[in-house]
Amino acid sequence: MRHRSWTFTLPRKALAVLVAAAALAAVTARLVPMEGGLGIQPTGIIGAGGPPVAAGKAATLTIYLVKGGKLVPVVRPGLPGQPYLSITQLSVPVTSLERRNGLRSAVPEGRNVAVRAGDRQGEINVDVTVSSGRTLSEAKPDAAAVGWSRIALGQLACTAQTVPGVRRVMVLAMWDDQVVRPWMSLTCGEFGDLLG
Amino acid sequence: MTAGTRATGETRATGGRGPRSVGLRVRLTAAFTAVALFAALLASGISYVLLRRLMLQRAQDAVLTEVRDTLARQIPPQLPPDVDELVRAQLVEALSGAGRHAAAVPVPLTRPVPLPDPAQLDVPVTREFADRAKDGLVFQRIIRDGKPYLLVGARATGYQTTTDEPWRTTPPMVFVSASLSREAADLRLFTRALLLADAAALVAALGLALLATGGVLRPVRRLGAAARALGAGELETRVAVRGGDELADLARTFNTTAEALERTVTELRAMEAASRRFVADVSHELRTPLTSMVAMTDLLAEEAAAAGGGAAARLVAGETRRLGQLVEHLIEISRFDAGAAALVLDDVNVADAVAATLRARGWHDEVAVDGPSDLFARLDPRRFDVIVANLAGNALKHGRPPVALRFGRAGRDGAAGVEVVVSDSGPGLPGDLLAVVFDRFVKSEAARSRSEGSGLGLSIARENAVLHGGSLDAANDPDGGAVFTLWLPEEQDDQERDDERRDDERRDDERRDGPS
Repeated sequence: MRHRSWTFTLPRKALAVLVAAAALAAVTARLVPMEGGLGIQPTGIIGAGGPPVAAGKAATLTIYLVKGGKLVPVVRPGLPGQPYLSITQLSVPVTSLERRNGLRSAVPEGRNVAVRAGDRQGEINVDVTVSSGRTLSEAKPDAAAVGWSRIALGQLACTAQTVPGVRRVMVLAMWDDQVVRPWMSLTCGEFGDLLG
Repeated sequence: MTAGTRATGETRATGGRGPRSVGLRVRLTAAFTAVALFAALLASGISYVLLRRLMLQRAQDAVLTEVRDTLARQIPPQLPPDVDELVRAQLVEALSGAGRHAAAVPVPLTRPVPLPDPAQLDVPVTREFADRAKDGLVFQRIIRDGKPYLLVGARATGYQTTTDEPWRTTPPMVFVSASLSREAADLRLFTRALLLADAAALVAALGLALLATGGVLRPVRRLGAAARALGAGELETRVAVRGGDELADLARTFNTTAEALERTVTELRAMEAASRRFVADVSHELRTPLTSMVAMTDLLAEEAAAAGGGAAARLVAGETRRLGQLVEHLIEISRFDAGAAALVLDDVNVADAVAATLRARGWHDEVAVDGPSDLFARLDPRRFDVIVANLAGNALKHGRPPVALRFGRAGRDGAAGVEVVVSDSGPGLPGDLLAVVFDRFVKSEAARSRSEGSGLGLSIARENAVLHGGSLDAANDPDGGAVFTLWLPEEQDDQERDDERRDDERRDDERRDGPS
């Protein structure tokens, strides 16, 4: 009797072991595909909330445009971390709104103005590239002859002075493959007659 | 006692102990270890999954937050015209860093977003990704060349453009690819640590399992050993009862059983000893009056013969002598039963001993002896005489002449010995008698009718042979006739035998003196 019960216990025990192993396998199988094995797994494209809202804080820019032969200050939005943006803004076309208001810029268009801090306190250096002048003998090219009229220079000088701490603009020119430095030294005061 | 020890040894040798307990231990250990391994793996698997999720989430969140913050910080609600390139350069610079590359593309108003130059990022940007990035902050984990990267795409919202020239003031879209190699390395390290910990857990579980199963199985093994000892006749065996668990219960049960068994067996032994002693005592008691009776009946027979008759008296004298022989045999055999028989060893010339035996009984003409004359063996000469006389007498009585007795050296199981073969030319032993010829009071029908001999002779002969450590076997010669083969070892363990003999003699004397 005892012997019989023992022989019946064995298959039952084996069954229990089988069931346990199956449960183990099921748990593992359930865990692993859900998280996709070891290591970092690739994903599909996942959204992480709405787009960031533009909230950069930047002081507005004041630039001098030309209206009827006079220099007129205009306000444009600024960019954070770009203190000299107002000067480079002189060489982009005026906005449609400004144009409707009769404003224009005398500064030559194109990407030929670069601004950096000057050598002395209160100075900034403006690098300009000018197209080849007509007279090559002169040591310094004539500004008007290479596209920089007096009023354009006035725009440059007065716009530069709206930047806090700037009193004088040193203009460096790249002309005929040689750097002319300094080409001109300007302050807004020199153009007082052009200010409306 | 000697027999008992030998029996124990045999039981152990045939291995009642080994496989089952080892199997149980292996099974228990395996189950224990499997459970521990399962638990360890489950725990480490869960912790791995959780940690990976946490780690990746943190890394992703850092990148996503930075992209979101940078865009929000760098792009003002209103842009100045034609600064797209500047803003893009600024964003790329702000978002690039260690293990991180950024690219910014302008967002055209009508056409789909151009994809960034693949050289700028670690992973290529798909069209779908760029489209999804238009509507919000999106990310994707990508494995490229076996290295994991996080790709993030976003553009700022909430800005104002001019109504007639919106393209001049639209902020760009940025894509950032961040390497997740550090996280992957951390995960690999973590995996290795987990595996090591699991291995350590496995080893510890194995050790603990062995300890635990040892703790369970040791009492079982002790019980087994005790049960074997009990089976081998060590009835005083008991096991120590420790604790109050099922095993202790079992041990207690075993002890009660052993006690009951010991009591019963002791009673039975006492009863058997008493009955043997009774036979011995009766035989001893009968011997003295029988000796007198033999002498008396002989005298009577002689007187009767002198008077010219006496057939009846001779018959009575013969039967009385037979009765006396029967009693002698009974005494002898009861001595064997009591274990009181002892060898008195001597260096014996076998040829001389055989010749003396035959001559003493007047059979030296009827038995053909063949054997070396210089064969010496260490024997009890009296017992050897009894055996040879029994065999020769049997052959002469029940077989037909010629009766041959051959002796010589013969090794058996590596032990040197002396073999004595007695054969006759009679009909041989009947088949049913062959197996029981050495049992007590077994006689062939013919012998029984003739009513000669005690029926104990061959039993005593065999007991004597066994006492020497030898054997006595009966067989039928294929050519007819019974063949009895006696084999005795040449050497005897003198010391042991002498000790035993002294003990036995003392016991024998006590017994003989005791009851009378």
